[in-house]
Amino acid sequence: MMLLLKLAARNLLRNKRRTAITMAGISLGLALMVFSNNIAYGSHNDMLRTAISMMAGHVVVQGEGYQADPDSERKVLHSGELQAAIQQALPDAHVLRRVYLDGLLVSPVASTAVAIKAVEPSREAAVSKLDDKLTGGEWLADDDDRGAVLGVNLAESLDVGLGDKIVFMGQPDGDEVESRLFRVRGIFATGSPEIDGFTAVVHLAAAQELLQGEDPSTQIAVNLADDDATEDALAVVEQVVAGFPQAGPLEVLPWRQAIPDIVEFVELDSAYGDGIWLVLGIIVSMGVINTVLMSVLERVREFGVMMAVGMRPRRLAVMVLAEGFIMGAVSAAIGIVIGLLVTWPFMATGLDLSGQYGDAMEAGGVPVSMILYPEIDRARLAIYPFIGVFFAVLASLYPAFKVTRLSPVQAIRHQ
Amino acid sequence: MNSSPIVAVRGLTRDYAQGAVIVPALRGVDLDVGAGEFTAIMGPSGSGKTTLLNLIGGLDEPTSGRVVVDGQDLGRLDRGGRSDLRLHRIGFVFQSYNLIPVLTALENTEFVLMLQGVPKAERRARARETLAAVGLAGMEDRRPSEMSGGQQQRVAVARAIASQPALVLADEPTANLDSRMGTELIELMLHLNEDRGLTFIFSTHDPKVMQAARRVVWMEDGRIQRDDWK
Repeated sequence: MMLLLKLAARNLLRNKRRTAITMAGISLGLALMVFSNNIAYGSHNDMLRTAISMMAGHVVVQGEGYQADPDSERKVLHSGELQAAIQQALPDAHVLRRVYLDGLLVSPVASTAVAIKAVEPSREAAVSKLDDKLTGGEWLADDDDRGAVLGVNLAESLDVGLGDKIVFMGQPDGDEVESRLFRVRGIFATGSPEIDGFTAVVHLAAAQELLQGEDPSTQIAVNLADDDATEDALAVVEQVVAGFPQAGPLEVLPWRQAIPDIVEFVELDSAYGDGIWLVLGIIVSMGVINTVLMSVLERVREFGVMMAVGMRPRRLAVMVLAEGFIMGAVSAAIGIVIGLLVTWPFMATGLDLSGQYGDAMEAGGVPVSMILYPEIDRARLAIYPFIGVFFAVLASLYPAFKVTRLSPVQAIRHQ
Repeated sequence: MNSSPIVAVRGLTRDYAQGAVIVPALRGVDLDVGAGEFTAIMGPSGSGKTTLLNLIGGLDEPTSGRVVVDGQDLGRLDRGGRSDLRLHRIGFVFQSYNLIPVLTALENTEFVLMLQGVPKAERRARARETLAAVGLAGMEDRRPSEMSGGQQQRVAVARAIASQPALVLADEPTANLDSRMGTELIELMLHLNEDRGLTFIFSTHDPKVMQAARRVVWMEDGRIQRDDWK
């Protein structure tokens, strides 16, 4: 085997320029793949973190069946006590309550459909950072159950500004129409048309007034510092909830089940990206096939001599594959290093695409910042070398097969 | 002639197709070559010399007939079996040297030994000794491109004999060498034949080879015309 590797390595050095060009193709393709995957991985993580913090938590507790049928009648009762119990069991977690209500928001001049998100203001701000998105006014105070913070597009469609009155009308619990007056305290812009156009944030206490039952809420969200701690936290929360029958029939879900649409979006987007890279890999392989084949055809006579002195055709094929292997392995190493070096500075500064696409875009209903911060996908980092070697060896298969078909006599006569 | 020939050829024919036309290269050849012989196959171009050597070496397959080398019937061996026979029992020397350009003289010489799986220290020693025997001591690290034609052909001879084969087949080995180098190469091979008892079969046009050979087989139109012993 050492003989074959030595021969393969020296054959590659025989036409340095051709080998360098081929390896440059593989390396640059892989470097681009590493960089763009890191960008995608960072964006996906950012999107998931945003979705987890704004829409759910790493673990959520909600009324049984709410995930399948999000009806505000499916509630968590005695939610303050349950929240405190969970907080005690998970002292490092952010545990917060929310009420979600659908209805109509009415201003003196217009009305529009609205999704009310009722929160504990300071706890919510610590987790979802929605207060950072304010473009005017201020975030809700913890004792302000009359205030509302509106999405910028919602405020525009209602034609209201700071201090203006608005009325929420809805049927949160059965057929009875309930209404409540709020004053606009602040306006936020996330960049997501869905959130900015239909969301109004109010105090939890205000929404609770519209619901029946003892201390109700729609959701208790448990946010963790470490995503990987989700499974352990889930077990703890399930245990706490099991000891709280007074909260009603509940379901406890990890974030993957709580935001399935977004998880699916990320998985689909990743699969789409992988598909593009597969196509690129095949295109690069075609180029590699061409150069390996050229190199093989130039050495037909030499192969004939090797066969004449007793080298089996299979070993010749292994030698050609070894050339592909060496090219792939070295190119992969170079490509990965280049990809990481290009990624590195953007991990701190971010890749700013806001000039082209605005400050944020919506993806899967989640606002995604257009300053993209790449993150190194360690799991994939271990796979990249195999990708480089796989495509280079794959490209060498056909030339290697051609070698096994050579007749020694014809090969030796080959000019 | 030796009672148990190292090469036995019987009724050998080889036809080549050139488009729709079948061209017979060999038309029924019978030949025995004993161990230790120094045999030249002479004849004009197209007489079938190289075809005969290729068939004896198992590089090509006959249309009909039988070739037995060192007791092994080539017709009963598959491609891999013929490769193994060449690897262990037959050495080749070609007209245009045909060394592996990326390997040094020493590596070219030990190439067959490497294929045979001879341990590194042993094959190095044998390759050095063989290079010295062909007069190339001190040139072990040179690549073919750094050597003259005569030196390259000596490396080719060294490669052919390093594994101590039963038979060396040489296809017009002096054709690309000038007169002096050609003479030196013949003397070298004669010396190896006498000193080591190696069996040589040449195809050649070269009168010098004919003079040196103890047996000259004359071929024409794919048949043996004469078989002269000295």
